Amino acid sequence: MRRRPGAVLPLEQEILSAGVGYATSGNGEFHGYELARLLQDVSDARRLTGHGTLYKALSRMEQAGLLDSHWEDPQIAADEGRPRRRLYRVTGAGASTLSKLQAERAVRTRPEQGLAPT
Amino acid sequence: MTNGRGTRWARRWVALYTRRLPEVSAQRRQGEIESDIWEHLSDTTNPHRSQLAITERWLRGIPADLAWRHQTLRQHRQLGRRTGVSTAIAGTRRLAQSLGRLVALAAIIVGLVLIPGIVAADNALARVLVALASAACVAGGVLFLVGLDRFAGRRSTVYRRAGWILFTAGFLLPTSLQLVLVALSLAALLAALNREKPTPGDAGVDLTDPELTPAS
Repeated sequence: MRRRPGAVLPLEQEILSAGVGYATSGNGEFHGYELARLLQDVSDARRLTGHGTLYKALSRMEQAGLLDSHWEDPQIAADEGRPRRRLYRVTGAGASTLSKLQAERAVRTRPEQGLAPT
Repeated sequence: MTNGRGTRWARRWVALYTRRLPEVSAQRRQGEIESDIWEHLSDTTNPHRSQLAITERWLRGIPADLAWRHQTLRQHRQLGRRTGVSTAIAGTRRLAQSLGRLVALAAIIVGLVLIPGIVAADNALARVLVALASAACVAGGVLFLVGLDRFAGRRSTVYRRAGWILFTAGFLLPTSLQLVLVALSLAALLAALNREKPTPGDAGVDLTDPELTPAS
């Protein structure tokens, strides 16, 4: 099934939410596995997100301008004796999309508010 | 770092589904998975469980991997088609411009080479014809060059139209004058042939000679 342009999937919304939450607590950049752990914690899931599912979503979100990414400095990775990380961060467009989605959800979950007589 | 079965399968799978993809996309995905596996293995105290978890993550991600590969290939082909076409057009245009410049320069050189012929010609008509041919070649070549440059280098409609006019004039001027010169040359040749055609009187035969006159 073809996706509606501009539509944000639940997983993508979770990624935005986790990314924005991470930005407020840390330096704002996260790598793939770190994000998988964040998502697991946020959704209280038993399993980590599948490789393909996670990186496909990240790739699509980057193309949509919701995320920004870059490879970390190879020297840092070499010093720590590990492969280079691809670091992601939520863009301004991603943050505003999340705010909009949260506002829409808040309206949907409380439809009676504003309609009920005072 | 443990290099268990799950890790090996996940790596082999990444190598398989990134085959024949654009290098940038393939290397990026391989790097991301390599980093993810490393982080996963370093995050656990139970290597056996982490191998199982990696296998599970790999298996659950297969449909998304295939969809991503399909999407990446499609984007790459679309981009390649557009770039290929524009490159082909630009290449053809450059080749045509180079050939046009060569032809125009050759015409200018021919026109300049003809200049001494104006003086060397033995009669007035020949001088005029050579002078016209020389002027046509030089002027045509210059107009063609300027027109080609204006036509090819500018995006403005006015410049493009002006370029087209110069370009066409540069092509038509020597060509039309060439035709006129050929026609004039043919006419001169025919006139000369007619003039030199021997007539019975020209053959030196005296028709009043009594020896040739039949006896009555």
